[in-house]
Amino acid sequence: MSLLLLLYGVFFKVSLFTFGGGYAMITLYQSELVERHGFVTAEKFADLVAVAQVTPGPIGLNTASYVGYQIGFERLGGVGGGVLGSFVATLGLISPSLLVAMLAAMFLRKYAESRGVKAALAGIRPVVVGLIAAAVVSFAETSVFTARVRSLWQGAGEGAPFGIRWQSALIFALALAVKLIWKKKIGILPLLLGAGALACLLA
Amino acid sequence: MDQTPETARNPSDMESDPARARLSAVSAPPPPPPDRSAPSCLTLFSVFFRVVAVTPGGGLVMLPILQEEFVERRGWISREDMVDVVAMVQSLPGLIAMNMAVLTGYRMRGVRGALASAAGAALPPFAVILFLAAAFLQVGDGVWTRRAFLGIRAAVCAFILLSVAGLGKSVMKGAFEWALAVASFALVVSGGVNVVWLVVAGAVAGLVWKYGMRR
Repeated sequence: MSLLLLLYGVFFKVSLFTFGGGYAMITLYQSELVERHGFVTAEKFADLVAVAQVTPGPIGLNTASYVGYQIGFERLGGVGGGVLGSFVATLGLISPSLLVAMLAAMFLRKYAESRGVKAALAGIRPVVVGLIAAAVVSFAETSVFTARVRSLWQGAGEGAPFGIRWQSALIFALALAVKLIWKKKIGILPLLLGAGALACLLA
Repeated sequence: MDQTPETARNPSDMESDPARARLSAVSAPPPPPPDRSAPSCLTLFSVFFRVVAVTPGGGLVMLPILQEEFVERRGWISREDMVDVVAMVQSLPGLIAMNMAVLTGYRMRGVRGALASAAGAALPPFAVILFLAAAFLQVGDGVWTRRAFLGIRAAVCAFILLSVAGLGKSVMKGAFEWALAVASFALVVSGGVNVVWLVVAGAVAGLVWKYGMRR
């Protein structure tokens, strides 16, 4: 039971400190779920995020549902535990919106125009850009690179030495190129499926 | 309270004097829209469920769809109100999609409307998970799955890179922004920093910078 409370609390906290939605949330998720509490491994987390991207719904919300399911499935047992975990995680995620957004709607019609809020946001937005850029690196760390970037100066420790998987690097470059050239004409889902297929062929 | 000439007047005078009635209608605030134009909580629930279910990607992607549904097609919100909603939604914590649901729902039907909209918006991934994640998680760890996901993660990496490039274009205006972004990036990549503190630090930096400047 305390796991559920912890789950609720972690997702509540992530949601409360996310300004700018989706991808900013991913870095916070990583920081809390993978590094701080060890709920899932970095690889598993990256996979769940990939699934969250292609399924309907905002990525932050999907990730919460899926990670919650994963944690519940493993720690509480079975599909039932998974569903419960998913439910609690989602609840935790939407609670700050329910509370804060409603308060703002009720009392602070001019919330967005308050000078203090604008100033704070002027600082938060670039931080968010940095966070999302860091998410790029963490995804690279579980695909293109064989170890975390920080191992370059901190030492590999018990993990694998830092290297580059050429297959993933190639797929990265191809995905980038395709999206830049064809922009909206090719959706993300077919590209991800293609990436997966290509990875199987190349290895 | 003093009796002003208007309140002392007999209501039937209003009807018998159309010019005066028109005048008072202009100067008084417009009456709220008739109740039947505001959607029921169930409608709110289903509309948000539908919108979230068919929209891949983050909250702002939902905006044009919501605009079409709420402003153009059903006339539940005026365009100006929608702009307000968007401004608020970006400056509030939490998911943009969820905040939109709560704000719009509250405007329509108060607290119950907000709850109904939020429930509708939160349900799609929860429903999908029963089919998808259960299957996906059983598939788990085969050799092929592992290989495929290495590729998928690499592609996702590329897409997030494109997103941040796009975002950066609108946010990075000068040295102040670059300093904050690079610092947060470096701190997260080297590990051990609680991201929450970075957000707080960003807010403080913004306050100091902007308020300092206005001296």
